[in-house]
Amino acid sequence: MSSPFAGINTARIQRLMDEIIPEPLEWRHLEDIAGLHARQLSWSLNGRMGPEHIKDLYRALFSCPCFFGYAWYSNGRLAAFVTATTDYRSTRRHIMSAYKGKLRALLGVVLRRPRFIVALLESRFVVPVIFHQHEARGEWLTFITADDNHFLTPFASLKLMDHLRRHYQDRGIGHYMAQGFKDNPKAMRMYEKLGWNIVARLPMHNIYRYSSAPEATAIQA
Amino acid sequence: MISLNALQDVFRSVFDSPELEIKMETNAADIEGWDSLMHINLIVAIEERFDVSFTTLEIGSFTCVGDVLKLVQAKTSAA
Repeated sequence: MSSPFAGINTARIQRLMDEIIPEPLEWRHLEDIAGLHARQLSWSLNGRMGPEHIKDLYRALFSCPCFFGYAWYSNGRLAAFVTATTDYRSTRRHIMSAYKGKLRALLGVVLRRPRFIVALLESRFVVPVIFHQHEARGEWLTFITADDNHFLTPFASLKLMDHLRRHYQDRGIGHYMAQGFKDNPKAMRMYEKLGWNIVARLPMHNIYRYSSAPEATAIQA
Repeated sequence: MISLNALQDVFRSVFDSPELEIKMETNAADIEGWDSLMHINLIVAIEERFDVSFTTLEIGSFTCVGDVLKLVQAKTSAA
């Protein structure tokens, strides 16, 4: 992977990243991460279903043994977090439980925005096939940062991403996948600048494949 | 003392934009292309250009270009 920091003194970046200490996600983080998710992704399908639904989603995720993630707090406030799974099939089954009894609410959202119907169908039926074709087990689920503290957040973002990569590497998982919603162009640009491999372009999503090898990190110490 | 113009030169170099003008109140929303990765490049370039080191606490306190300039001025005048 070509580094987005070619020609830059990466030792300085590493020094600053070393000062940022993420915490492994636990149940006690649920309220904070669901709250930040609801605030930052209010435009998304899940966001439009409301903050209680987002909490249900994370309750479902935390109940899955394969789910993991890392959070970074700045001045006592959640500033960024990343979530993922070491078994996307199991975790997706857990996620489905968060939609039980919400058919009317879901229809209310997707009928107002038909694009979400396509996104749902892709996510439910096409994305798992692509993951399977790539013999993947791991899936990167969410990566969310707060608006404030923006001067420091990029460093924390790199740190969280690297924690995720190490988590997979330590468990012998050589690669992992993600589906990126195309309606989030800022995130798409960042992924592409980091050199991540787009393995499929769907109408509503790009599908990414990442390596957990040490050389896949953006910062080469 | 480090001037806004000197800091502006670093911005112009990092963003590869010779005409770029910054003000004390400029922040990421004001400059096209100031995304996460450019931001990291910018902070490192400022450290190198003025031979200073920021802590995460200091970076976290920045809200605009003026905050960066004041800290660079304080660090270089104290050196």
